[in-house]
Amino acid sequence: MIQVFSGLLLRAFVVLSGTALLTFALLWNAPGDPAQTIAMARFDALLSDDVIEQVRQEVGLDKGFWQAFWAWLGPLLRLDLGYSAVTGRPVGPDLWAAVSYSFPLAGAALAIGLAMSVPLAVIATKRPGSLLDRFAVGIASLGNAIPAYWLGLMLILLFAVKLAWLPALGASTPAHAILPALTLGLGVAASLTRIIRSGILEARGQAFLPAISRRGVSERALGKDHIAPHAAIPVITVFGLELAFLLEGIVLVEVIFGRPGLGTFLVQAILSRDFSHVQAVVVLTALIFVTVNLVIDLIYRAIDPRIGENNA
Amino acid sequence: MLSLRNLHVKRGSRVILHDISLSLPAGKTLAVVGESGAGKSTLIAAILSLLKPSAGDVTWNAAPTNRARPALVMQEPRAAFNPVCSLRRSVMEPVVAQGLTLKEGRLERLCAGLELPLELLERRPEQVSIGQAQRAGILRALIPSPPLVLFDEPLSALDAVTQKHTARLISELQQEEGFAALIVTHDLGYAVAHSDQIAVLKDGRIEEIADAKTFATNPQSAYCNSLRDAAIALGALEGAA
Repeated sequence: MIQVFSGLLLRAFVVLSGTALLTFALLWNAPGDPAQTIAMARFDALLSDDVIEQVRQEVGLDKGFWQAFWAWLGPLLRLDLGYSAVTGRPVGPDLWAAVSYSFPLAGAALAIGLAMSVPLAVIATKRPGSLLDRFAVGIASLGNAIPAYWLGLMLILLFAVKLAWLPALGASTPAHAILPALTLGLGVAASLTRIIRSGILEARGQAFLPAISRRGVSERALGKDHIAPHAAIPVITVFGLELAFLLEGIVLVEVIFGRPGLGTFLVQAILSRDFSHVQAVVVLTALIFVTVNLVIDLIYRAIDPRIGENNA
Repeated sequence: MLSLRNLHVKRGSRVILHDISLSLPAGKTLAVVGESGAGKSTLIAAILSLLKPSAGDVTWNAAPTNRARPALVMQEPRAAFNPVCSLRRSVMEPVVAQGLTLKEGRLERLCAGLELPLELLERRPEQVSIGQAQRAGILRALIPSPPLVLFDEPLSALDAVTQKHTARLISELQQEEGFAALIVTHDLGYAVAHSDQIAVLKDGRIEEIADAKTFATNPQSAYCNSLRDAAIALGALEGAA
């Protein structure tokens, strides 16, 4: 187990380091002069070459790529995210402020996705091919086909503009989170419904079930012990992927709904070439992605001991 | 007694079983022989109430068969178990589900009868040989002392030596335990050697039912004659009759 866990951690470390290096290289080599962009974002005006050079030195852009990368990475290894090149403030508090808006939104979207998809898929699989089943598949296909930005705008149009039931922009009250959470959650529900449905149907077709189904084993026990664990593996895989898509989708949805959060934080950081802000978001999302994958890997092994047995 | 009366099974518009009437007294063995596609597996599914007949009925002592909690030994020994569970957990599942208390030493006695070392039960299906998995399947079938056991091609996945060995074990255990056995097989030699009666299924209909020894020496229909001749040519009936 220790060997397995070490292997997974090593893989996580490689992914995190690779992501950080790649993003830093992309920002470093992006067209345009980063020092000029940072200076313009900082002073909000066109500036003389002297000021731009001063900013370049101050931010460390006058050093080579590797020196600049190390200047950022070194403090990060001590869990210090550094300072914003634009505002001069420490990155940590600003990042956590953004996270405090985005994470609850992501959590609500996942909760909506699960709350809709699990009952819908379970009801649909009671009678495969029935009208209800077709309805569930239809809803799921529709949900997958509709892009989040379009759905978000339609929800604003219906619930904020036409009906005036919910606020459209901002994040000052919990009600402000309903439409963005629905926008993200409906997409999650669509993907999960399809995968849970097919997972349950496949699990019900397992060859061994006829050998035990008439021997006093209750439907509930069959579901809990034999069908659910088998169906869970593809569901967990997709759930992990959904989390990644959610982090991506949240950027768009926060911009559409004018909410502060990681999306707005990242967009502003990219526009002003604020290296430490961009890197902080990238490392945080990569860390979440890696952690989720690590947890999924461990859940796989708990559900099916055959997984990873040969390479353990 | 297992009774099938005028059983018809349809899948869509296709009739799979036509007017099947059979009976199997407690403690006896009935072999249902037929080619692939004859309807043998559908017959098992109907007896287990896994599908609903379009007409006729299946009963055990005049009650629905599922009340007798019939056991099934499947054709593919490893696929007959949940791959992520230990054999012990799978074997004991019907006992636990039915809330039974096993007589002291029953598991050990059955394991000894099946020549299945107890420690093998701690393994998962893919960690034992196919023959061992099939014997574990028989163990799971027999452990709660069911009155009726269905064997779906129980030997077809096994090599010749293991086939002979397993067939002998099934017969010995039936004598000890006294269950009624319905064996579905395409192996006429096995059917003749190890059953009391043979029913030949062809295109979903019963072609002939006869006492096993009579069938081996004097089948009535042309199809059954050709079946027997083919078995003789393959040496499958040597010593069986």
